[in-house]
Amino acid sequence: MRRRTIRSAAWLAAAVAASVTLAACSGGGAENVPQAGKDFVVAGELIASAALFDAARKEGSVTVYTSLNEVTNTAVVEAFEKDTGLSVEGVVTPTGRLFERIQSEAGANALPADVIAMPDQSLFGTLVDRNMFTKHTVPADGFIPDGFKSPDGLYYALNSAATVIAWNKEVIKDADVPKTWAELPAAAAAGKRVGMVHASQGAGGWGLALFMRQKLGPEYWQQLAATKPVLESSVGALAEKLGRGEVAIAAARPPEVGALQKQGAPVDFLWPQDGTPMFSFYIGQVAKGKHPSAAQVYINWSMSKRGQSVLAAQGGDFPVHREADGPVINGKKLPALNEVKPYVADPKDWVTLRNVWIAEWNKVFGYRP
Amino acid sequence: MGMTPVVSRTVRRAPLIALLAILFLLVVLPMGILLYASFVDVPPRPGSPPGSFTFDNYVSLLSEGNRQALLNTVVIGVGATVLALFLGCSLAWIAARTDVPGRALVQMAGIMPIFVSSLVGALAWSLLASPQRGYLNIALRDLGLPAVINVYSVPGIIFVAGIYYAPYSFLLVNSALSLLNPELEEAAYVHGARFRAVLSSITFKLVTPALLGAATLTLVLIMENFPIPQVLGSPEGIHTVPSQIYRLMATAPSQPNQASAAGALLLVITAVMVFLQRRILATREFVTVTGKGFSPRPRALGRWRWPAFAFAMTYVLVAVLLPIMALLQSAFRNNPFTRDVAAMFRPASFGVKNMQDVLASDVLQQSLKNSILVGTGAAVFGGVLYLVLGYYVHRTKEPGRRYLAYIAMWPAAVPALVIGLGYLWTWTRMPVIYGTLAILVLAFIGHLLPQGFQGISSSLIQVHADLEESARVCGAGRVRTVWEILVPLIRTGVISTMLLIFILSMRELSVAIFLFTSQTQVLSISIYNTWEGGRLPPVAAMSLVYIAFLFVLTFIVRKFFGVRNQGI
Repeated sequence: MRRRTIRSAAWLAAAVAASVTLAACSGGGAENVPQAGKDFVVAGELIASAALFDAARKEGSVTVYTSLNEVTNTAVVEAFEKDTGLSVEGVVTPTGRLFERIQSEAGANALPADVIAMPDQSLFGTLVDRNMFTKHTVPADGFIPDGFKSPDGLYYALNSAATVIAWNKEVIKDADVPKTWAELPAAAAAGKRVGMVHASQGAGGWGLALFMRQKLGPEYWQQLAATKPVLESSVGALAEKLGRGEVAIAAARPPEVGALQKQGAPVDFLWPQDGTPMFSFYIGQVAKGKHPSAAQVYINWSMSKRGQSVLAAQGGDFPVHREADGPVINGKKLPALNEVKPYVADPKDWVTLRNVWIAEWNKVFGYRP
Repeated sequence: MGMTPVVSRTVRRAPLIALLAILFLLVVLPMGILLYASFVDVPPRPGSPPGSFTFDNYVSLLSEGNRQALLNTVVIGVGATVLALFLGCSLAWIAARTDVPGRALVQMAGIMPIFVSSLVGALAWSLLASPQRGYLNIALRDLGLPAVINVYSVPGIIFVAGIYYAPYSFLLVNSALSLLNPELEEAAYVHGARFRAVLSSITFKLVTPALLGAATLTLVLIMENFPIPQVLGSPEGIHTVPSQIYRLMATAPSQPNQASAAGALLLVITAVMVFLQRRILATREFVTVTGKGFSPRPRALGRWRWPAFAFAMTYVLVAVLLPIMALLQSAFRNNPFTRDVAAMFRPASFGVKNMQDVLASDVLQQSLKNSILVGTGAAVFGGVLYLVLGYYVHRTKEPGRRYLAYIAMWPAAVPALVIGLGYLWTWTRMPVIYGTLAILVLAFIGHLLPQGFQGISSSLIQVHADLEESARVCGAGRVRTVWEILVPLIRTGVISTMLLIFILSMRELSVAIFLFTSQTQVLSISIYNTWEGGRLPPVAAMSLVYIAFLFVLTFIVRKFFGVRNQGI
């Protein structure tokens, strides 16, 4: 029996080894890596000086903590690695967990991040107050409007993210879809199930709730709540229900709707005529990061025309760089930002009203977190 | 030998101290900080100032919504446990003690649902039986029948939880039944007892430790499970304590203090269960494997042979095949919207691009590799720990055994979401291994302690110590006795437990949630992230990949390690 056991163990070890070998990831080499001693330029745009880029290459990699959509982030990282030859590691996880993790690891002096990219002025602001970030000015600074960079040079807005009205064509006819947020409760009352994320979901949920009350009036929440909408904990789960037709209409985000369309789902979205609530992801260089030069190259690249165009094309959200290409979703170019009536809440309101209004929202919608 | 009494007592206590230290690190410390968090108003992160004491977190548990959630948790827990026990024990008995045809297949049937994580199972059943667009309802509608199946309901949740947790009962009771001495039953028959009487008075009474272990473990695991009620309950507003916890942690910023309080509640319930279990077991002896030899003879079922086989296969159909069909639909379709049954099978609806993308992605390949490494580490090192722990608790008379047994069951009570926080808050300062695969291995070993300990204990209890004592009397040391006498006897139990740990750490959802990095991402995290991102087809595709992998692995292990149902 002992011999059999040993023989069996050998088989098992072989099987495991074979699987591991099969699963070994293919190596990826960077092409067109810029030469040493030269400024790093992409499509005529300076991303990093020779000195900075050489220092970055010596460091070799950058660690990024982000809550960007995983698919978007993978595409962006691939483009960056290809352009620069630097490798990107880090953590990609939803904002709530990312925020908890950043704070815990920082408190234990075990935060390996060089760059943090996440949304929400309240949360990001907490990190700023903790002196998490160090000042850095990107070469493209002149192309970024004032509203998208911090006055003290500690961080930039990475994008401008919208929430729109989306619907499933098999469950509701195009003509019946409400063209404004104001008409949404009526459509829901007519029997078309509406879905949205709850207000404490994150920047998207809170931004939407804030917009609804400030722009559409104090009664709007009650009107919408009376129709008993489906409340989801993540934009993804909401998108999945929309794609399958479990909800007819959703207050969703263009990137997720685009991903559904790519899967073949019969969904579409429109820009509401009474305004589009927006929020931003923010990016900053971590003061105690171990790869400061690589971090600066990463941020420079992300805020350059090149990086912003990639982000818009892959992520489906609006860039902040004035000359970057606009977002593209499944081959269709989106309208320019100023054409969709963007609504950006006052940053002070965003932070100070948050706790009180979210508590009220939960009560109105009967949502018990 | 010349040691002073103090030194010799310390040497004797060394195993206890070592075990306590390990359990302290793996279980007590992370849970302790969660308990602390439940009584303060700010998260107890490293480096942050201590919060102020408050009962608010617990007071909020008393709100009407949370009381309803607690009631749902208990109702679903008890209902699903009864179903799981019935299914698991029936299959275990059929597979271990009868001459059912295709016994190997029935054996596989009992454990197959383990390959599917409860998240994937819940998603599959959501695809199958959601009231509007479930495949089964689409089929019913096409047949002109009322589409009445609604898995978004308490009975629906009980059903799904019951079939997915049946394998625990199957595994624990199967090992126990295979060690059962049939002479006891035969003696009863000789005295004129009827089949049903023998079954209830002898067979199942003798495997009571395994049964109770299975019942306790199953009840606790079902009560702390969050994917099933989150996926199947929240559309209709049915909440349980774990799905409340999920929502508390899914907000930005999350609310860990309240979540910890809810976790503490579940912990208290677990403690009560374990206490009751030990009280019942302490009063009797359940030994069936002694120094006397025996040869088990399978019971002839006669005309019940094929119905028994049919029962097992029906279970496979419902618990495994239907959900896999749902996953195949999701992974290979071009369109997540299904209008009717014809659309489900029309060739034009299908495409392999989704599966191709998933298989070719670096993320899947790296995750799979990491999962295999972590799973192997957890199974091997964890297996050793559970064996040592089980031996210490059940085979020695040393002090402190009872506390070890309690501590060993705690991790079952606290949902992975919350215990992940405990690890984040206490293990961040661990030098060298934080941020590596090793920390994930530790997390899984700690979190799977109940399953591992319970699995090995059930087998240990049934083997009488007199076999080992004979060896000791003949001069064998403890280690040699364990290796040459005990382990071969409980070989089935040990291998099954290690396999179970491997499978669970590959699919478990997921204590690693706060500990992973892009380099150490495991498959369960990838699936979880993708689910939260709402992209079901890649979730389905990745799930199919690892189900296939686990299936092959289990087949190999069971065949080559000779996990059979005969006695020694």
